[in-house]
Amino acid sequence: MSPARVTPQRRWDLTVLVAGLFVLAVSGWVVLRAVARLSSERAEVAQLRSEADRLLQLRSSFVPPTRAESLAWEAADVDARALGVDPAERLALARTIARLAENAGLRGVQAQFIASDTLGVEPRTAAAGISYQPAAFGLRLVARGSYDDLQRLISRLPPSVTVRAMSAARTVGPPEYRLVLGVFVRPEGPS
Amino acid sequence: MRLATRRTFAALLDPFGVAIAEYERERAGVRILSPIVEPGTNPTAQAAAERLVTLLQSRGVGASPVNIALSGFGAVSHTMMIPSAPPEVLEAVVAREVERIFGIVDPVVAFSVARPRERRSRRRTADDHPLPLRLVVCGAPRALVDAVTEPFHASGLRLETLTTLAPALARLLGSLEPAGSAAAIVATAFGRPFTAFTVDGDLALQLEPPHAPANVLAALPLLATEQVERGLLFVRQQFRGAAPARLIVSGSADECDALRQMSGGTVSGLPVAVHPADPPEAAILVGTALEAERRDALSFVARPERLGGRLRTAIGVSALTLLLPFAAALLLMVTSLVLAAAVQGAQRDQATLRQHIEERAATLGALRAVAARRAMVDGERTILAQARAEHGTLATLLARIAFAAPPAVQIDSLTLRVDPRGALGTVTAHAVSVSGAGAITAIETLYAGIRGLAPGTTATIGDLAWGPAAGATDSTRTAVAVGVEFKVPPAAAPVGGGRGVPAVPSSEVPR
Repeated sequence: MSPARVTPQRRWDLTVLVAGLFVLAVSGWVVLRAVARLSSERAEVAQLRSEADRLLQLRSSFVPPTRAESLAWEAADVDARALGVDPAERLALARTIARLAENAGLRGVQAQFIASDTLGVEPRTAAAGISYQPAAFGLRLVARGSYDDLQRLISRLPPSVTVRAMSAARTVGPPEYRLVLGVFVRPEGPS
Repeated sequence: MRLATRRTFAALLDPFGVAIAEYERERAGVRILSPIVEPGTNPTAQAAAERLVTLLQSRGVGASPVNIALSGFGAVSHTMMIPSAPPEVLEAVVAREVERIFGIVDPVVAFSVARPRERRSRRRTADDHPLPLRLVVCGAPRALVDAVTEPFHASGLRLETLTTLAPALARLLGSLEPAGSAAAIVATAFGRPFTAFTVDGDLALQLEPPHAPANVLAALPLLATEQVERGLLFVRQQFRGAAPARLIVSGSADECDALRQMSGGTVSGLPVAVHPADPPEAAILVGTALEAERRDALSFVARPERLGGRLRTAIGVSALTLLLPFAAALLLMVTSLVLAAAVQGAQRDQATLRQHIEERAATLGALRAVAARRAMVDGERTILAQARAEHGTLATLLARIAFAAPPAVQIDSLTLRVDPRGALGTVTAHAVSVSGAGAITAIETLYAGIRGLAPGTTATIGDLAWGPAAGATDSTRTAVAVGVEFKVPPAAAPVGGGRGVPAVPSSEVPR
């Protein structure tokens, strides 16, 4: 069609048609945006609903501690105090070990602090981030007595120590025993 | 078969009478119902129209459509050949020709383009002029058209088509005569003959008697014969010798007999086929109805459009096309609004859920503290059990070492070192026996006992050192000393530290 045949009416029609197509395109774009937005909003709703349900389930499945459990916790607290020592209380530990040895039947008990860097003691860890680290000191114990006394001592040692080395030597009189003990410190903060 | 229930009328307005009949559309055409013929001179077309309106109103006809064929009063029919021309200029050309030929000032014309008929013997090439147009034209003075339509407008009756007699006769002839090249008919109305010829289904010629009442005219057979002869000559000359095979005669029984008996059953050499009608004007009314039923009926008045057509005209097809994108956009906008409402609903749901989560999370602080307390107690119990097991394992190991030595063997020293690889130990011992073999047997028992300390224990025995037994009172007793190194694997050794295994399964811990 030559340009001369484009009448004003036809030009108006074309203008209206182009405008209609433009409005149609804009409307289509708006619909697509709305669909995408709705999709993301619904995904967010689903996630929040899942979280709310999880919290609800958590709360409904929670069993409050009973009296017996509270008492068990207190007992566990007492036991837990033996799992480690305060480095400032190492003399008390030495005294405890010496007393345990003498109570086990050993005689001539001598306790001595040693450095722990060669003992190769690994921390004691458990779930919930609980960790008892080795102390910077160890304990060397020298005593005499029967082999049974030695076994009795070892079985009565507190959980805050670990036997890293021992030796027994027959000499004149009762055998002499040397024990090298690693020590664990109590973690800082409330236990 | 009745196809529609609305009443439709066909009418004939003639200077010498009016005729009208209701008709029904049928699958094969139309059927005339109770025609009414009122002969009588009509001095003017308006008088005839008013007479017709009165006739309709007296029979209670309301807004039913009426289709009229005009005979006389100055209305003309004509066929003309004009050079090919675009459709938009045809009406002006036809009007000018009607004005020029018939001397009608300000004519109203209705025309149709007949099938082209090639008159050349050789094939027409692209360089030749296109075929001329053959037009079937009806014309009438505008005053005549206004005079007929005015009584209808005044009375509220619907005048649907207003045409001349020629198209009605052509339609009547088309319905009576099988398809052929040429056909002819003589139909009578108010005692006057009207003759029409068609070629290839299109009107070729229509002849009317002189304007005089039937009683002053020559006998009808003579008038008809004269018209037929003139028509035959015209058709033969204009359509390359075309001639109808017979002549249809439609009229009253007497008129048909009179025409049939001329020249021994022929008219101008054409055999006569009679088509009696009662009244004779009914045949013309049938033709009028047939013409009115055509979508492209020749009419001086615009056919009132039906509702769909009126809507199309009002809006315009192109306007519909233009409005389509806007309609689609409107639909999309409505969809957007619905989606926006859905988004708002989702956001409300989110707000509600967030509130629920906050409310539930607020109570979780205490729950978390209890859960942490339980986990801590579990961990401490685990480590406690691990430490006790470690000490117990070492005590058991020492007891097994002592048990590994038979009575003939005396352990002189024992060293033990514990590290992550297990327990590494050295035992030095000596055996006293009256025989060397006995002493070795005792050492062997010790060695076997040490290797059996725990599954996976390895042991290495050193060289044997022989010598006299200490404190022996006879020279027959002998002693042998030996060192045994052993290694107990970590699983059976009192290895300290590391990650503890829960002493009591968490599931059994009171919660």
